[in-house]
Amino acid sequence: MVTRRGQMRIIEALIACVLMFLCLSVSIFFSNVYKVTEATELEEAGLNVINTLDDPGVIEKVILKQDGWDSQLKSLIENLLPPDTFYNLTIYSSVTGQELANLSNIMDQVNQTNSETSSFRQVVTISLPITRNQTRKVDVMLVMDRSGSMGQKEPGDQYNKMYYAKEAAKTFVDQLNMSRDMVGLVSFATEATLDTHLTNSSSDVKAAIDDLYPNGWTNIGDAINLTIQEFQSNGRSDSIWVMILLSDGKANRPYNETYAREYALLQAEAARELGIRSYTIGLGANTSDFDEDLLRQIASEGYYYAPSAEDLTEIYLMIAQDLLFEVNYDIVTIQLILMRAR
Amino acid sequence: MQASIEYIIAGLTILSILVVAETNMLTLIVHTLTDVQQEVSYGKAEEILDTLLLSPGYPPDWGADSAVPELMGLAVQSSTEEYILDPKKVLRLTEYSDHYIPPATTRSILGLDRGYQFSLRIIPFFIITINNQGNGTYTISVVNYRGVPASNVNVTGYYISIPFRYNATYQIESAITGVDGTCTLTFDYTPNSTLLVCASQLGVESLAAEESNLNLKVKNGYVVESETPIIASVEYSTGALSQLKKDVITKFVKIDGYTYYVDFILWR
Repeated sequence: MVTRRGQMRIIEALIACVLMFLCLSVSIFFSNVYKVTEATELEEAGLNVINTLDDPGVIEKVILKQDGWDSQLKSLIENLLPPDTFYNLTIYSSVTGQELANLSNIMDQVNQTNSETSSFRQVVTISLPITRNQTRKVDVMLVMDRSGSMGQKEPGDQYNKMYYAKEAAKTFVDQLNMSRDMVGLVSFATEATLDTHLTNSSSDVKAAIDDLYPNGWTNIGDAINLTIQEFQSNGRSDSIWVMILLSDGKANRPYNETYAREYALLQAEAARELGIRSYTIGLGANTSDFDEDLLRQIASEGYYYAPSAEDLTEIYLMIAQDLLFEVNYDIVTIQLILMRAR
Repeated sequence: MQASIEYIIAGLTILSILVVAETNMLTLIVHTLTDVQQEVSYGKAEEILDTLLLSPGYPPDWGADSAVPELMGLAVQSSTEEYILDPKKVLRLTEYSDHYIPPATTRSILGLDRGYQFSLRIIPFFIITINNQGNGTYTISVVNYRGVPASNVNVTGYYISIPFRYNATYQIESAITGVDGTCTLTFDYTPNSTLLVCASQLGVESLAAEESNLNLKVKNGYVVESETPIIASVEYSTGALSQLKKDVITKFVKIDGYTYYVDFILWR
């Protein structure tokens, strides 16, 4: 009986030893190190994909849906990822919420293999400016100050302000597509004159610009009034009506400064009611030289300040860009889920 | 007597189990320690690769010099984007460079002792093989950096006269690779001409030339002169890789606008 009890204890001891050994082996074998390495590899693969896609050149092709973009994106992802990696890629606009692309190979293969998977997710936000040609036609009236002060030269300048204004306006005309757009010219001093009707001939407008001569007071109100009349007579109903007004002085005609200012604002309001888009440019080394507040109120689209006449070309080009090109900024989110069979 | 024998047998059995267990557990512990060591080594390798790919080194324009840099980094000086490498710096890691920097020197600049070994490979994202079939016909084969045929790749060939003049006209042909990663480009045969091929997939591009050491690149669809020749691949290593399992760190970088695959291994 004692011997039998001894044998039982020995067997129990043996079983306990074996169990302890097995437990230790299993716990060491399934330690975290292996898992961490796997996760790191997958994370690295994911970051590599995100870094490659985080390129406006790539995303622009996806957004613009260039020919074969979806198959190219699929091939690119498969080239970027290690073999046997499953993915689900979603690209969407955070501004509109619109889904731009969704590619996945998870549904097809993972369900079939019925294997364990681990996943990784990374979200990246990028800003993407997209420039598109404006397809709508524009009718532009250039409204230019030819008062006496425009004949002044700024210290150190070879040419007067009128010269720079003419060059800038002609550069602007060159930006237009004359097979589609129209341009005209109104100038103002003591009185305003319609120098060119809205026309497709850039040379006619440029010649009229070259003929401007600085002399007299500043009558902004009549200039806007003439511009409105020209749009009503010759402006096309299916085009955008745009007025670009340049002045280096304070409105002081008709009558006096107070009346002239109120009259100009009244005309600007009338222009706005007709749907005319107005840009204004204030020219002068000091903003006290001209009525900046009036120009700001006239402008429905934007007011630009030119401290020097030499800045005018750049400002006219900025207006052309604002007018002729539509720039959209989009924030695109790339979402990637990676899985790998163990 | 019988009980004594049983106790002796039991003792021996337990002893043998303990010996076997200890041996096995030692192996398992060593295996685990190796993994832990690899984790540590992996972290160090990541740190070194980031230094190489994200920093311009010092002096920041060392690629243009013949001197050995004080700090090693391959990134372009004052780049606003990450992982943009300076071709002049990368070229100094190639043996055909006049100012080649041996890997052992780089190891020392990186602050690694002689016990460490590393391997750095820089491979074009698309490896392009140009086969001249004669009479202006070329077969282009495109495989990715893993050597797998790359389908659906837009291949553009620029058939240029040599020596290249920037204002010269040249023929341009495009094709898309099939499932086998190949396509054919056909030009009107012109003597003294060579082919420059750009493989592109959604803006990820690689460039190759029929002739090596051509200082040309393609910019906005035009062939232009480049300060450096096209970088085919860079194998930069302090020693041969052993059979031991090693973790490879991979990144994608851009050199002169073209995408390259980089892998880096560090071991002791």
